[in-house]
Amino acid sequence: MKYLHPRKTFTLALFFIGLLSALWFLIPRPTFASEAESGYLITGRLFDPQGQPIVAAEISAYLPGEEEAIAEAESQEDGSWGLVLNYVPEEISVHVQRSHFVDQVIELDTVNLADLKETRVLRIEELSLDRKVTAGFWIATAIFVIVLLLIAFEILHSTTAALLGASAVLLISALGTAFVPSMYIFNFERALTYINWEVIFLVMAMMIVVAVIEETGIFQWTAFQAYRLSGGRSWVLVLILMAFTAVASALLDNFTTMLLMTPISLQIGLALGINPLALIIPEVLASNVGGISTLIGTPTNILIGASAGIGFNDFLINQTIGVVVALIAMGAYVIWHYRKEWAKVSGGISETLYEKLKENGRIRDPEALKKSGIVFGLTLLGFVLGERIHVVPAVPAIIGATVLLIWLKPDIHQMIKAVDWTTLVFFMTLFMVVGAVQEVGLMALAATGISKIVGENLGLAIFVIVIGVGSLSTVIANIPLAASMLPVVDFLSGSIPGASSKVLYYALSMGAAMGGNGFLIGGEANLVTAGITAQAGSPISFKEFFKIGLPITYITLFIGYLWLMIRFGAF
Amino acid sequence: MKTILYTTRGGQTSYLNQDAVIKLAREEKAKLIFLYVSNVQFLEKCGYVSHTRVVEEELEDLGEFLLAMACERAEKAGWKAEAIVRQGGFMEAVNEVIREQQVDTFVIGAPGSTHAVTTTEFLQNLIQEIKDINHIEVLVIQDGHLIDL
Repeated sequence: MKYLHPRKTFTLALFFIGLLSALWFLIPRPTFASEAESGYLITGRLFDPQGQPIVAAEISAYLPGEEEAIAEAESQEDGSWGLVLNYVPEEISVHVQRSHFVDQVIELDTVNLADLKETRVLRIEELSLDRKVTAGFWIATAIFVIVLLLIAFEILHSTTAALLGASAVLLISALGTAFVPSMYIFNFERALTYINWEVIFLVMAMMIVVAVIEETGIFQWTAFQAYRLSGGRSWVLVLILMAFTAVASALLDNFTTMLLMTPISLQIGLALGINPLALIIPEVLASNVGGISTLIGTPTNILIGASAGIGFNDFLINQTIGVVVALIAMGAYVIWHYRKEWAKVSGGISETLYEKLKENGRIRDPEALKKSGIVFGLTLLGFVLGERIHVVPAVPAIIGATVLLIWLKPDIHQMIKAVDWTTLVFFMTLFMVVGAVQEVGLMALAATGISKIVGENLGLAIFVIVIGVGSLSTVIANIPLAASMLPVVDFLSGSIPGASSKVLYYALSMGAAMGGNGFLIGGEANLVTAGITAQAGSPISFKEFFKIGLPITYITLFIGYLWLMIRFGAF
Repeated sequence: MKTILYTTRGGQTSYLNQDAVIKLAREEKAKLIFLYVSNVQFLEKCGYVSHTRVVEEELEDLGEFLLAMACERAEKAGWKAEAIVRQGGFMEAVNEVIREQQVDTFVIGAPGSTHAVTTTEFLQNLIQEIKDINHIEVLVIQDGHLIDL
């Protein structure tokens, strides 16, 4: 039996995924109007108490005394619905049902029906359904809290915790409902709608791109060049390394950047005779902040961008200056904090060690670097230009990854291994768990609570999100935190005057990423860096990290807050 | 000629111990081998298996550099040392090198006061295992001094 080569299979799979996505967007969908051409249309829109559209509500039309509906429909993404009748009866009642909401019945009077008969279309005013707290509400809330605790206290791996949460929600909805109907949360089909596939594909494609670039040696080469440029002055070196790490994190991701920068930085630090952690900890701090300025710089930005429709250019324009100012302040603090290290004078490095350092800091694959540089540049261009023609960032990313696979012909098994499926499964199942609490109305409740605190004060809302999320992010993993906060920010953006500029999403982005600098456990990049330094006899202690990380967290959070206030004129 | 094997992580806190082992080797006119064992298990524990290969390569380079520094210290102290970098389980790597290099004395650093990576209990078990398997002398060194554990 002949099998396709794995590379071809993978490339073909990516091609078909792209094709199907394109078809999905291109194929025209039926509209209520087209359905109603041969009948009579009753249409309307449904909203929750926070003004958000209600999706998947069942709308049925009944004749008086009848148990069987004469027409049925389901509300769409924008909350709109349309009932198509074959004829106009004398009396009719429209029933609106949706789990986790109070049922509503609309009796249509003769005037309405006469109007319908004459114009063939009857528009009912916008309906607001009240929330209903069911057993499902408490179950989904408990599962959500348990998942967060399991992740925060590292009782289970984050992916396992999220998978457990999603399974529990689905199991209870499927089986528990048979005994207690109010335990229902949502079904599998509904759970799938909460998965943001744009995030999944963008993350996956960027993982492939990064996997190719990381093998070229560009990180190590740059670190070595920084060492050369600094002329042995450690404080200059740390600033160059911080700047590079921030830029690399913005364009690739901070996790990979630190994975590759840490070993070479350790060598440079030891060669200079200083504590290598004086170079490495500032690099981690810079990497966590640097990523904020682009859509692809942090997983939370990818999440926020895809959910709120914030593009690559938007992040760049609205965040970069704030990030640069925060990095400058961070650099100044780092220079002061490690002042004793910079005072240490090294006797210089021997020729043997210099040659070894040079060897370790070489470009490993110049050809791959050239090709991947071209493709990555074009992918970035795709991000920038794609927005103008409504192409989501996942599309140029998938195309870029595919081109790299075809052009560079890397070992496809290695490339598939380079895709961190654990993270992708984590994203998917986390979306379901957060979707469950959205479905039952917990997020709407939280949003209403925050809304009561901040009122209509945009400045206060920005402050609460930047500092509040930043503080939480010091101890809670920023991805679940950002995913949980998104529906809240969504509501606040719609209810606070001036927040439609999406400023609160940027506040969320800044808070979630900058907060990761507070403690060693605050971010993945922190932990992986600590893992590598421990391998070289320079472990990062919890105390050592937070002594510099915590002050920097609040300095940068405050700068981020001020920047957003200035940028969006919220003073 | 006697052969001494010393495992080191190569950080600044291990310099004192490196110097003491170099002194010991010079006094006993023994062949000195520095061993660095890298292990990417920390990545697997975190679930980051996707980067394992590239990190392994980086840690190998790091180990070579750290041992080059250790060898240079030996040279400055007037003694010659060799360097071996291995990947994987610490115990397996140590036993392998002991066999390959026909090591007579194995020296290992004890957890220091502030920068400990290993625990005393772990070390005691490890020493016993090495003695049982290889039947060689095992010395423990802490802050530049040989100690009884």
